[in-house]
Amino acid sequence: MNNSSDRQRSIRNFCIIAHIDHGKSTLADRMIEHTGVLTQREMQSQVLDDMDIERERGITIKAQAVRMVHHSSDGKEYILNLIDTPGHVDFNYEVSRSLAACEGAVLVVDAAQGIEAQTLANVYLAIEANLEILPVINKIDLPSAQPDLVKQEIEDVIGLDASYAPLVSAKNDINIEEVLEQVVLHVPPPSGDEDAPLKALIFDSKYDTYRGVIVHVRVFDGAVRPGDRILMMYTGKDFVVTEVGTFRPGELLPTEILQSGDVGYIVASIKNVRDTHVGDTVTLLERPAETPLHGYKKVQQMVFCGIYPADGAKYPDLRDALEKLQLNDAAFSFEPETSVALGFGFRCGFLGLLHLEVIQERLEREFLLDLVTTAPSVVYRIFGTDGAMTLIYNPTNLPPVTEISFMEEPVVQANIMTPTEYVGNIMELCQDRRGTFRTMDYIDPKRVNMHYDMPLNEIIYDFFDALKSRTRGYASLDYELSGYARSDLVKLDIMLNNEVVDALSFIVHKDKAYARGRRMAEKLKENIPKHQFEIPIQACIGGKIIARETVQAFRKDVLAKCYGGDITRKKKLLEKQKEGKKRMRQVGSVEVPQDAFMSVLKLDE
Amino acid sequence: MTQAAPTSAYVHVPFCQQRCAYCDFNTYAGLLHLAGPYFDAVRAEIAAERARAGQAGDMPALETVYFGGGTPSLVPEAQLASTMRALSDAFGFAPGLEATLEVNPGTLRPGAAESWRACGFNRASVGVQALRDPLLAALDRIHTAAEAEEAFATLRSAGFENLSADLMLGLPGQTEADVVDAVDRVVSCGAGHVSFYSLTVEPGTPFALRYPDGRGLPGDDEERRLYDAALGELARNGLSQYEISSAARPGLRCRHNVVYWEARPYYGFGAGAFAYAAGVRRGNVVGVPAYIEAIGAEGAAEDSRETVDRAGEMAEVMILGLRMNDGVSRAEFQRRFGGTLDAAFGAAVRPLVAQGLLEDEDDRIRPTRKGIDFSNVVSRAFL
Repeated sequence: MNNSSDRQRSIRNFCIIAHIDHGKSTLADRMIEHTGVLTQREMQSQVLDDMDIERERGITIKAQAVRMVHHSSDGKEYILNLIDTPGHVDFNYEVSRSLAACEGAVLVVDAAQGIEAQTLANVYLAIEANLEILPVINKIDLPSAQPDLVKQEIEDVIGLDASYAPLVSAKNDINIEEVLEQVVLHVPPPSGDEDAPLKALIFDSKYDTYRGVIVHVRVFDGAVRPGDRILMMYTGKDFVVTEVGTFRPGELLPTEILQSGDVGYIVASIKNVRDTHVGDTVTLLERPAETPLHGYKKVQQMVFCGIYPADGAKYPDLRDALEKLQLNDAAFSFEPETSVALGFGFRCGFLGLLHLEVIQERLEREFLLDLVTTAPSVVYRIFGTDGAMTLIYNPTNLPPVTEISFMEEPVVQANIMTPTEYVGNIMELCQDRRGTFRTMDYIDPKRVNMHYDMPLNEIIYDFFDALKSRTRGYASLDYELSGYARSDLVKLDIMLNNEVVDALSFIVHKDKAYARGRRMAEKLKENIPKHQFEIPIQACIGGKIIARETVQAFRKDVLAKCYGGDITRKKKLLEKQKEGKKRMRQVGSVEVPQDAFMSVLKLDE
Repeated sequence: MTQAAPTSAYVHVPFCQQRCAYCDFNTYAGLLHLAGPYFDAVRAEIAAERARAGQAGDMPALETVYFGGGTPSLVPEAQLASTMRALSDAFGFAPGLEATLEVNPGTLRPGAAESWRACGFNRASVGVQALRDPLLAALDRIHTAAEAEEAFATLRSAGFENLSADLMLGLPGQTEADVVDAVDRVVSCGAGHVSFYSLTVEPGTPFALRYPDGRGLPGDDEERRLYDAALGELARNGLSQYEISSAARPGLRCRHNVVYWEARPYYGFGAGAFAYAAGVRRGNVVGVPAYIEAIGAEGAAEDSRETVDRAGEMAEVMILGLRMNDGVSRAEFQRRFGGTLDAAFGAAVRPLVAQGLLEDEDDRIRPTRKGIDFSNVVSRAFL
């Protein structure tokens, strides 16, 4: 038994938790810079967020890790492994696994804004994971900074001692050394058993075209070397290790061995990212651990939508792209489906709406695909008159009302943190979205945490945007699936020129159907261009029309003059118009712009 | 399929006294001092084209000649006369030649009409546009309604019997009564042919600035009412529509323009002029000095070139042919291309017939009235 060897005593594994915009990535960049892993010149702003979309949106989607060396004032060298965590409610499980790979967490709080719901949610996860939490007050150089108030808040709300919290400005490089010192002081070193059978936690994986899946692990017990045969304890798959190593920003540094306490990667000619579930335990085939690390959950997709190629001929390209993306992201799923309106496509499952948007954007940017996306839906439980239960992923597949005994929809526990002056607005909003008020705790005299039970299908549309606009951006939201509840749901169909467009059908609560149908008809009217004929847009439930709009016919589309060289110009113009038509889907006799399928989601605008 | 040599020639005259507010044609105000060298260059281009084309005697004589602009009536008569002579020398004029000159009513100098007639022009296309002075002023035209009517009288007395009037539809403040009145008056002035153009606001023109996004102009519904009014009044006067923007008494269709709409070959001389022959459409450089210089240096001023292959030519036959009320003849199509129209375009034609845009009558496929309003929809189906 060699508990907490000298080697392990010089390791600190930690993550940074923060609300979006509170400066997590900037702080990470500064720490990397200060430990000299990278020279200033090599620093690309926010090195940890290496996906374009992440950088643009300022969020982390995939966990990243980096190994730093800190020369402490105690004269010793410490290895600091920073594991970045995804920063969005869609990725809570990934967050929990990243946290599980650490002993400590740096909690970044904005000196001007204080604690937000997202922060709190992650703090609770960190506390659950038994992490030592080191508060850091960031942006102290802002004129509106109130570090003492924020410290007090941290103590009151979270119950942490914030007296030693470093006051920093990551942006302006103030007091970063202090953070590094405090990490060494407060984050406990790992204390794994170096001689025990290998137990390593998978907290992320990445697909590399040449080497296959690169598994990101935290080794708890034992060691792994190239040549070892490893076993994934949940999936039961085994592989021969070809390389292990640690993380430098943006690159991998091969080493001879990964031992207890280390954070690093394993390459083992793994072809499919599905064999490396986040949360699974890696052990050795020859000498396996007795029990896996606890906390493993199979990811569950909560939001589903149809994704179709704008150009039907691109269906194989879309399939290839989805397969390639899935190599890197096992959290989304896809199944072929067909739509009368849209042809061949896929029903895709996501962790949440943001996850959906990220995948959609990656398909468009990285694979240059033009997509039509249908309204996201949650998974409904349909109990038939015969007593059987069916899961409905696509509203179109809802059986006739006569065959349904009752329906259930997923419900979440939503926590909304807000300044007190917006409580009324939020209550109104939540009530409008069929929320059931649970409790409300005062964080301080000025802020409350409101707890609601809400149907998930009310959240996935535009709830977050609506919340932000009703609270001038001050409220934050966190939610977790809590179960299913019986609900009075109906299927709303949209008819264009008297034909039902299956891709626009959705399931909605009976009380909301009329308003939604009307808004949808209005929105479609804005989005569908004039045709040569008048187009009625009707929203209906079971054949009963509840809303109607009309797209007026246009009167002419003609060039008055066409002589000599005009034909060249005219042909160019017509070609261009024809290209524009390609961005349309022919639905019966009506040409519907791709955007229309998605724009009906943003009914609040 | 090799095309026959052209029997039509277009000459571009890129000079104007002042630019009209809606115009985006290749024409220039204040460059008239270049008319001499310019027409020298045009004549040189004609001679060079003739030299390239082959031995004398091989060439079919010209059936139609069209001097357009710009304002051809603005330039000295001698320039027009010597250019007509150059065309005649190079290609010869067939008996029954149609030779059109575009005339701006504000440019009729005493004796000019007689000398145009004398050098061989026998058709005048008069830019009337409207016959109410405030409408003309809004277009920045250089003439009044009265001057336009006088121009017809002058041309008639000089011996022009084949007269055409250009009118515009969809002008700001224009009423149906304006349109009916203008049609009646140009017809009674002797116009046996009328071109009636729906206003198109071209980017970069003063109109585009004055009426951003078409605000302040008649909407489509109103514009179609004006168009209907024009068609009705023309028909009442015995001029029947034969193309989207053209109506004529029997026998007075513009043969030159019909060449374009049948996608037949033509010569094009002058700055920015287009020529179409042997499956190639060429465009000359647009600038006047640049054109003069290019002709001086190389005897040619080609700036753009588009090869129109057999499939492209077929498509153009449909796109252009269906601008005309008579549409496209299956027999003529087959004579021209060997293959049948239905083999090439049956799949494109059928849905258009179903949508009520085209009429299919034995030999001919014609646009319906709706097919004329939605000519671009028809055209796109053949691309």
